[in-house]
Formats: sequence, C-alpha cells, structure tokens
Amino acid sequence: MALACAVLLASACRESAGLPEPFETRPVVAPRIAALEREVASDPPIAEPDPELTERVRGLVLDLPMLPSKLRTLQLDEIASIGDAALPVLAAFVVDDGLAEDRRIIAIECAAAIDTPRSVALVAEQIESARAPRVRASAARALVRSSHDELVPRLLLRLKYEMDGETVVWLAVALARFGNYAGLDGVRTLASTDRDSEVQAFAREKWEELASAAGLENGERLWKAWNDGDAIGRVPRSEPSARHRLALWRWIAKLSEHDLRAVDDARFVLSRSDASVVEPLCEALHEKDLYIRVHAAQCLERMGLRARAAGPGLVGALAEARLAPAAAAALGAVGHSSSASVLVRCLDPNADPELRVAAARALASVKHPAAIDALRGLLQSRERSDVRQAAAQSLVMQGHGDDAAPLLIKCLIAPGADASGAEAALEGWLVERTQRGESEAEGLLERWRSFAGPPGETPNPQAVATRQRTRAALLASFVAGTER
Amino acid sequence: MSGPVRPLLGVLVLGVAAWALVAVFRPIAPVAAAQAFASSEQCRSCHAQVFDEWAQSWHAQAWTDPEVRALSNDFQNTDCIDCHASRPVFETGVGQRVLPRSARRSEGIDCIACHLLPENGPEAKSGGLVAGTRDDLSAACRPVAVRALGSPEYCGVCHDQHKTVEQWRQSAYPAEGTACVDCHMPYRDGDMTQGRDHTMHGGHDIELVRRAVELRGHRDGDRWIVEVTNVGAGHHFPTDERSRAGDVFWRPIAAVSSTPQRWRHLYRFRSPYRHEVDLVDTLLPARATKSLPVDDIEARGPIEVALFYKRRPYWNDPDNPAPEQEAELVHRIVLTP
Repeated sequence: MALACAVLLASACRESAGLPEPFETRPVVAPRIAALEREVASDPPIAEPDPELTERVRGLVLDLPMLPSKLRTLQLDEIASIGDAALPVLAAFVVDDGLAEDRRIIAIECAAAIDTPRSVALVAEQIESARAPRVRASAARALVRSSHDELVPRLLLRLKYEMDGETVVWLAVALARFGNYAGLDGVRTLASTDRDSEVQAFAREKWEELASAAGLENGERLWKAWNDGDAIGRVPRSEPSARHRLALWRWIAKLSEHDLRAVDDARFVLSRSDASVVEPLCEALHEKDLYIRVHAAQCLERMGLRARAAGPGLVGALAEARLAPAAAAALGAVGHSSSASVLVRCLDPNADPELRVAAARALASVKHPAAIDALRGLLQSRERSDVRQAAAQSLVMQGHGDDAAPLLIKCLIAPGADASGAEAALEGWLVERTQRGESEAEGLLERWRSFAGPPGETPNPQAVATRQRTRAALLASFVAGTER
Repeated sequence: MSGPVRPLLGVLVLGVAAWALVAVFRPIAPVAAAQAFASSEQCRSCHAQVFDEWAQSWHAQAWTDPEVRALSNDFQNTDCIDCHASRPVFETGVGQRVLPRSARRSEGIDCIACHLLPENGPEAKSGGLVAGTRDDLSAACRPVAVRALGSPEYCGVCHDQHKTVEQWRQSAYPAEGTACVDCHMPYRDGDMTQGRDHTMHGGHDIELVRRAVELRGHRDGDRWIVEVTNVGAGHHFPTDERSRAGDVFWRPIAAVSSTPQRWRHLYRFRSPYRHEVDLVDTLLPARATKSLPVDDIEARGPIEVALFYKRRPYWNDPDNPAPEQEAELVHRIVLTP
C-alpha cells in the first residue's frame, strides 16, 4: 500500500513539476498537406474562351474607364458574373508589360471583382511581379474586398520585399480584412517619416481608419494589441479557411528547403501570421525533419507574445536535445506563464551548453524574480564565458544592468568574448541609467556615442577594436568611481 | 507484522520516497554527453599554425565583421545567424544546410563548426572525434580521414546559399579538377605535405580580386571599348553576397596641371537584392568577358578607366559616386588613341 502510494505520488509530482514526456517525432507536415489537399476542392480547368466571349470581356474592360461610377459598378458585376471564364482574356491585359498602365489596372480590377481563387491569384501575381509601383499598388488595393484568405501568406511575403509606400499601405489594408495586422509595422513607419508627404498622409489616414474599423481608439492601440498577442481580445479574428490552412502548411514545408532564401521567406510569413498558425507550428515541433522542428520553434519565437499558447508545446520540445535551444529561445519570447521556472531549470550546469546559453538569453524577456536571481547566479566566474555574457546581457534587458556592467566591460576587450554584443548591451545600460535621471550617465552616454564614427560609414575591424578598448576604459573608470 | 519484515518494509518505503523526490527535482534539461570540445581555443595548443591562420580569416570574424554586423543590423536579422554562427557542418551533413548555434557565437565559423563529427555518426563508432585528412586515433582530437572535408559540397552548405558553388559547377573548373580549396585553401608553399592554408582568402583580399579579373580597352572607330574578363575566379565575379559589386568607371584624362575630372560610372557587376525589381543580375561568369562601349562625346580622346570593388552596394551620393573613397581600386588603365 505504501509502495503504491509512493509511486502515485512520484508520478503526480513529475506531472505537476512539468517534466516533459519523452519527445516523439513523426511525419507531420506531409500528412497534413495531403489531408487538406483532399479537403480543398480543385478548380476545374478553364476552357479557352470562344471569340464571342473574348470580345464581350474585352469590350467590358475597355469601356470601363469611360463609365460613371454607378454604371461602372454594374459593369464590374457583369464581369464578375462571367467568372473564371473571363480570366484568359483578363490575363492577356494584365501580364502585358507593354500595355498602358491604366488598361492593366482596369483589367486587374476586373479580375479582383470576379473574386474566385484563380482570379485573386492572378491579381496577387501582379503585386509580386509588376515592375510599375502603380500597378502593384492598384493590385493590392483591388484585393481589399477579396473574400479569399488563402491570399494572406502571399500578401505577407510581399511585405518583405515591397519598396513602394503606397503598395505597402494597401497590403496592410488588404491583410487587415482577414484580421492580420502585420502590415501595421510598415504603415506606422510610413506615417512617421516625411520622405514623401503624400505617402505619409495616406499612411496616416489608413493607420487611423484600420483602428476605427477594428473598434479601437487609434492606430497605436491596434498595433500594440496585435503585437502584444491581443490580451484584451479586441483585435478582430477570423477562422482560417481550408485553403488558408493548406497555404500555411505548405509554408511550413518550406522550412525544410535547402535554399535559405525560401526558408527565410517561410519564417517571415509564418511569424507574421495570426494566432491560428500557432497550433500548426506546435504540431510541426514534432515533425521528423529536424529543419522543420527547429525553424518552427524559431517562427514561434519571432511571433513573440502572439504565440503565448505555444508554451506547453515548447516546454515539451525541451526534451529533444537538438530542438531544445530553439525551444528555449521561443519560450522566452512567447511569455508563457511557466517560462520562468522552465528556463531556469535549463540552466542546470549539467545541461547542454547550447541549451544553457539559449536559456540565459531567453530569460531577458521573462519578467519574473526567479529569472533575475538565476541570471545573477550565472555571473560567477566558474561559468562558461558565453553563458556568463548571455546572462549579463539579459540582466541589462531586464533593467538590472548595474549587476552586469562590470562583466560586460571586460567582454569589450577579453579575447573570445562577443565584444559587439557587450557594446550593444552596455549602451542599453547607459540609456537605462540616463532615463532614470542620472546626469552623470547622460554625459557618459554622450561620450560613449561620440566614439561611434561618422554615420553611414562602416569602420574596419581595427577601428572597431580601438573603439571598444576606448569605451572599456571609459566605463571602467565610471564603474570604479561609482563603487568607491 | 513480525520480525524483520517491518524494518525491511520501512526501508523500502523510504527508498521509494527518496526515488520520488529525485524524480521531482531532477533537472528538466536533457543531459548531454560531455562535449569533447567547448571552444576552438582548445585546438590551438597542437595546431598553432592553423589556428593563427584561421584567426586572421574572415571565417573567424563571421560574427564580429563590422560589415556583416552593419548589413544584418547587428544580427537583429536573425536569418543571418544560420551561416555566420553555425552548428557543426557534419551534424546536418555535407551538402545539407547548416543550422544556427547558440553558444560561442563570437568564434564565428571555427574549428568546431568545420571539423567536429557527430557523436552518433559512423566515424564516432570507430572512435573518431574530428574530421581530418588522415586517421590518427592516437592524437588528442582523434581525427579520421573524411574525404568530403575539402569538397565543394562541403563549402556549399553555406557558400552555395548565394549560388557560388553552383556558379563553379557551371564553369569549366570542375572538369579541370579545380575546386574551392585549390584557390582558397592552397597547400602551404605549394607543398602537399605542408597542409592547407587556413587563412581562406576570398573577396576581402584585394590581391585575390585583382588576380581574378582583367581590365583592357581597345579602339573601335572613334570610340573606346572597355573589356572586363573573369580570368581567375572559379565562379562569377563578384560572388557570394549580393552586397558586393564591381564598378567600372571612366573619365577623360585631364591636362597635367588641372584637377582630375570626376569619375563617370560605366557599368556595375552585381546580383541585385530581391526587392530591387528594376535591376538585373550582371555577375560575370568564370572566363567570360564583358565588352563595354564608352559612348560619350568626352570619351573620344584619351581616357582613364578603373574597376573598383565595393562591398556595400550603395553609394553615399548616387548621383556623384566617389569610388576612390568608397570602394577599393582593382585595376586602372589609361587608354590613349
């Protein structure tokens, strides 16, 4: 009886301590894609339009610019009613680089009005490939009323490469239609820069419009709500369609590609998707393919607080040695309630150094007293130098730079240390002290920054080393002075 | 309960309780086998020459290189970490993409990244710890010969991300038996017994760049034709990062007493970033020549032509580029009718 109780007690304690179950990997991505491909109806082939239909569509398109607004709407409805059968004719207009922009834009608008998976794909291709910014902007604008959420990943990817301000704003508006506010970063930047006043005014207008449409007070609140994981539940959500889920799984599959560009694109798209991607990414943590496991964890890390629900999955992933460092990094970022205790246990001296360093770094984002205590404990000299430095840098980010500064100053000149990382952390520490109102720190920060060199110029390694030595001497005397 | 049964039961219960306590408070992290190598510094004592060569190389500076830090925004662009602080190549396999590491990032692409063998790999079963050019299990690091170590597929795990190895494959060099290490890690003093130089000179070495390309010019009617030939690079010129460019400039020769005229841009060799949709790839393949007519009325007389190598793609003032301040001179020629 006592034996049975002891065994039950041990199991219960193991569970409540959050110790991970053995970690299993299996094919995850391919079966998911296969299942969704079966679920998504495949589009029937489009027949080559007969001459009569071709003429009819051409006529509708060419007449459109001349019509008053009400008739225009009717004309677009007529084109929409033709459906995919009109696409071959519209595509001929749309892809013709030699055609006047206005004509191409009209054809894009017509294609968007049809609003089928194939028609919106045609429009999305123009956002991706048209050389003229005006055509790209018009294509993004045309998708604002689309009902096809499978476009979201394509629109997100375009945010990575688009350089035209107006297009960026329309992409953000189109994405917002589906409850994805990743485009707000670009709109926010455009709204605050004054390089092009017209674009700036347009960005400001849409910044507030999007907030109002979402029922929030202003653009800043919406942006914060999106990035903070929408703890207040104010950001509109929509359930992804089967096509959208299929698109997401296909992006997850790209995490396995050899070409890093494809992987980078996938990480970009997935980390900017809404919270509905968290569950697939957590499933992907169990994928047999190591690349997918690791990069799925990275995507969750990059989502930050929006991936809070991934906490339990990431804790489980710590049991897989090759995945554990990426899982630890993600745990720090997603802000799960168990992150502090779990990451502190990852610092165990017997753990893999990769995991220990990753956990020390991850603790920078975990607001918990246990995190601070653990990081302070790592500053001891018997620790590995990279673990100590990671802990020191995390302490600065936690607002406890005073504890870390002496070690980081040594890292500026110690052989083998990450001097550039120490430099960035120390500047953060000086900023923190300046913000506390310390006038001496303010003067020091000014002197620190004076060693930076002319903006826009990249110093050579020798100049960097000289700068770091000078800064080390500057701070060493400051710290020595404050300790006296 | 009689005799020794009670005390025995008590001991058993205590033992189970102790086991339960251990199970609860045992560390969560998977316990890794003790790493044979914690830092490439450990290699220095036996391999001082190689270590010193490597320490000067751009592999060693992959994490600290100021240009990389500027282009990656101090690795805020974490995509860059995969190649600039990678896990050991043999962990994922030759020809397979590397994964990023968390520890020792300041050591860049170091001995461990290139030579450490996985603990559960076939070489480990025979006792090998690191990949080398010969078997010597009596040595402290227990090297085993791994032919793949010097192969282009090996370099390609990182360097083919920007298609450098693919460019080499498209050239005549594979058929001629010339691979990456032949130019970038030659035998010391040309002697196979001396081992390979680990300085790994590349695009940062302007002398190597100079040997890679030739600049010439000839007259065609009343105009000049400038030619750039990729004579010595086993891949395109320039290669690897899209931030690199080769720029050809010209200017009329000024009279002896007057100020040199401003440089006029003639052509750029570069692979554009993906967002630069208005630019095309103009990299110069191995052994190819690009002919550039100088169609300017001011170029009818003697001109000076120069090829510059730029590691950051944009000029401070695009309308008035200053190649002598912002780039490195590769070749300069004077063309006189």
